[in-house]
Amino acid sequence: MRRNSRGSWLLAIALAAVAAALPLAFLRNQYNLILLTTVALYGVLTSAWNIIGGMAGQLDLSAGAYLGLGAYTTATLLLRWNITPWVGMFAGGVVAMGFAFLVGFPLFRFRIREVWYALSSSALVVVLQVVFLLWKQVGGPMERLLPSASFSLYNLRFQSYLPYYYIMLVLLLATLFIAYRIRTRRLGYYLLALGDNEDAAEVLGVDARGSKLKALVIYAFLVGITGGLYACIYGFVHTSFFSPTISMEVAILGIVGGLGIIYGPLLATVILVTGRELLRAGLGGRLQSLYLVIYAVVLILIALLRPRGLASLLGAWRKERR
Amino acid sequence: MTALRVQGLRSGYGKVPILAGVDLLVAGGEVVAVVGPNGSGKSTLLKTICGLIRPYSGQILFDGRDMAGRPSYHIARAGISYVPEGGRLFPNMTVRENLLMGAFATPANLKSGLLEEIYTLFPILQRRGRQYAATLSGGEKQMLAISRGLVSSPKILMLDEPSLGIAPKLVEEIYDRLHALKAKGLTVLLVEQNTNFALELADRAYVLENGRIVLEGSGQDVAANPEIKRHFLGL
Repeated sequence: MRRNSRGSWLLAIALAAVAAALPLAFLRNQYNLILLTTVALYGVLTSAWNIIGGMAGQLDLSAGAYLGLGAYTTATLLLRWNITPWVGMFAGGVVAMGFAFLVGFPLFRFRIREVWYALSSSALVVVLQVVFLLWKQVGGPMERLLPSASFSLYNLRFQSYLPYYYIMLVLLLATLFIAYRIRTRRLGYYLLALGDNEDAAEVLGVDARGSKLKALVIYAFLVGITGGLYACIYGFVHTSFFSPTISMEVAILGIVGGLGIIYGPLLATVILVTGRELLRAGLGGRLQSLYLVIYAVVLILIALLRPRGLASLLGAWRKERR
Repeated sequence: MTALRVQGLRSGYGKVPILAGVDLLVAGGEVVAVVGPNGSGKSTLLKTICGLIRPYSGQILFDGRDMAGRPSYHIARAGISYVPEGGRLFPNMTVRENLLMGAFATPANLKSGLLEEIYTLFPILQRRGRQYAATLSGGEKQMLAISRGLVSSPKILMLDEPSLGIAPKLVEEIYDRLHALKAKGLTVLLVEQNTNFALELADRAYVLENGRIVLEGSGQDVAANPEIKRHFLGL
């Protein structure tokens, strides 16, 4: 088992090195760079979602809420008080975290779970979108542009996507590490037990409310930071960042990847987001939206053939080897 | 020494009352069985003690502290271990993870050597250690559930129908192990429909009917009571 875990670490480091070297192949092509950045961004979102959705078993559909909060916090701090996004994105994480606490506390207190949790969390995204639409000082109907610059480290604005990709990669590695730490510690066992059978976990001494709240808050923090970066990458903030679509997509990728398995959501993201984007680019000119049909069919096939997620493919392969 | 004293306990599901004032006592090191017909409130009694159901009124004194109405994780951490009907395992965790879960959630943590002790009791659990709990047979699941209840080194173990839906041969095996645990001085509150096995194991027994205790006595006395035989136990 020791040797096995050392092997996994080596594999993880090797994959990280490949990910770091990847852009060198496409230096001249900004499209490929933004594709890589998008995959890394979704990788962060889905790996963070795995903590609340995969481990704790809560079908969370509120990623867009925390993404938007992080983006708006970062943008507002920069535009109003000229505070660098390096600080802003962490502030965004903290705001998302605080908001998650305010929402999660009553939800878990009154034992809102399953479909009801999913509905409440998805309503949150829409509610925030309206709030920011009406909140003229911070949001409003127009995009708020961030200062553009060909290379400004202070404003975190670059002409090329390359720096964003590396920042996102660091965040992705940090997220995976946090998820791994949680999974292998006490909290991870609590969350998995809660996800499997909440009553049984409670009679064994698991504080269901406290554990779920911790998971939600950690997830919101990571998504909030991502939101800050998201704003810098695209160079503006808009209320459409509070996106039910992104929220749903994050959950779908998390489920398709394999609930509670650390690398599962990332695996699904790498395969499916890359595939979807390439399809979109390839078919976009001729048959618009066809890529969505293909994407949906692939998702259905995975759900039918691999109900435990894409990661179970690797699991089966490893078991056979043993 | 009294481990658990239940006084005037009334509880039920929502507005449907099940327990209509139950008094019950479990002394340290004692095995107490609660028997009675289907729907008499046996499971409700255990669920109320472990905090899954809030009592309407009454006291649940454990080590001198009233546990009534506290959240179930508090009660579990205080040392009351509840093995639910059908085991209620974590199907997506391995057998070993299920076991560790029992110790993880309590401040006591896993006592060294305890896992080995449990493996001696139920060797099959060691062999199945890396398997998902969902893949176990009914009897193995029950063994795992009991073991999971034991790894937290509880002051009292509460078992809800440990023989339910299990092959007779395995029921015998499970009760054989319960006898061994009793000999080691474990305090047990047991709820059973399989009265033969339960009354043979128990030091004392209560008969529950329509949410009330209608008879109490030593295991043999209750088993021998002709009224009980005829009315409830179908012996």
